[in-house]
Amino acid sequence: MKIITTILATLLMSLVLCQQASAQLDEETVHIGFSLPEVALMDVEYIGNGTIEFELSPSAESGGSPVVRQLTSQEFWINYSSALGKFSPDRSIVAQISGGTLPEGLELYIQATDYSGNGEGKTGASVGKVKVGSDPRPIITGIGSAYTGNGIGNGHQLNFEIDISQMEKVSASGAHDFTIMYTLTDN
Amino acid sequence: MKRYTFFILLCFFALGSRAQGLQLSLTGMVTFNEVQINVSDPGEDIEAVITANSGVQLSVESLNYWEQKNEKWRIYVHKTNVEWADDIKLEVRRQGDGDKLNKKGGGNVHDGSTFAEIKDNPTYFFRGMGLISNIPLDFRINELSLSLGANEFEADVVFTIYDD
Repeated sequence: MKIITTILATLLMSLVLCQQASAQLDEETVHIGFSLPEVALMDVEYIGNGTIEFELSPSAESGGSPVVRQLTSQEFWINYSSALGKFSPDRSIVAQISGGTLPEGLELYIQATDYSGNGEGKTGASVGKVKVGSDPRPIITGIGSAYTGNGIGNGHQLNFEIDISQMEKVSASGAHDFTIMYTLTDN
Repeated sequence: MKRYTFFILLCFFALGSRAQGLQLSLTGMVTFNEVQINVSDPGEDIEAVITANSGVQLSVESLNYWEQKNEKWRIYVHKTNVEWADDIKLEVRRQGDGDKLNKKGGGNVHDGSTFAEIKDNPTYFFRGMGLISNIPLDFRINELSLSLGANEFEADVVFTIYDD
């Protein structure tokens, strides 16, 4: 009797197990892989010819200091696309005078605004008003993996200012041209 | 002793029934067209979607053709992440019906013909009946962005067949 009970119990359990075994029959795996590369691209967008003109004119009153006036009002915007590796440090944008020289007695300042636009990610922050010379100086720091959006109104707007630093060295020496270079750098 | 013999037989019976079930096989490999990952202009993001330039073929097979030639089944799919980002969507679709085994014409398969996200938990992909070989599968990656950072991303995609 015991043997018959055991046989019946075994068959019953077999049926249950068979039902369970047939639920999931098999599985197969395929490996997927791809890589996102590092990216570091930057440009300056502007309306017009990309030139800013300043004029140093005498004071309206005798004995007053000369006045520096910006003759052209153009918008300049820095756009960038940046993808950093996992352990890479943030990037910066540096500016320097790369061609020509600033007339003696004058100083050039650049101030980038904080980021605005249609981008996404870890965009950089403005350093504030920065005196620019022939050596590169950071104007935007803390750029991670991000993109600013393309064109005017995206990224960081640039504002320029020329100050008289040493009046005694300022002379009427005609027109001076100089070029400012911007570099997206790894540190 | 007899009782143990029965249990041993039971195990063999259960294992045997599993071994005789429908089986999956995959051929080919998935490679993505990484040329698509570029920035057209500074300030722009990368293309959000990259498509695979080769896919895999999935076959439903059996050692027991006569018993399972009309068996209904369902395929589920999920992924296990090796290195992945939550924002990236991996998607798959069935590009064709495959070939019926020992019969003329395409396989009897339904659903799964539009791209659907492969999630971390098994989700229904498509269903069919009988033994069908070389069902072509196409993969793509969606919602890529530079803001994810430069990295190597990897995942294993698991296809599971169930009785329907």
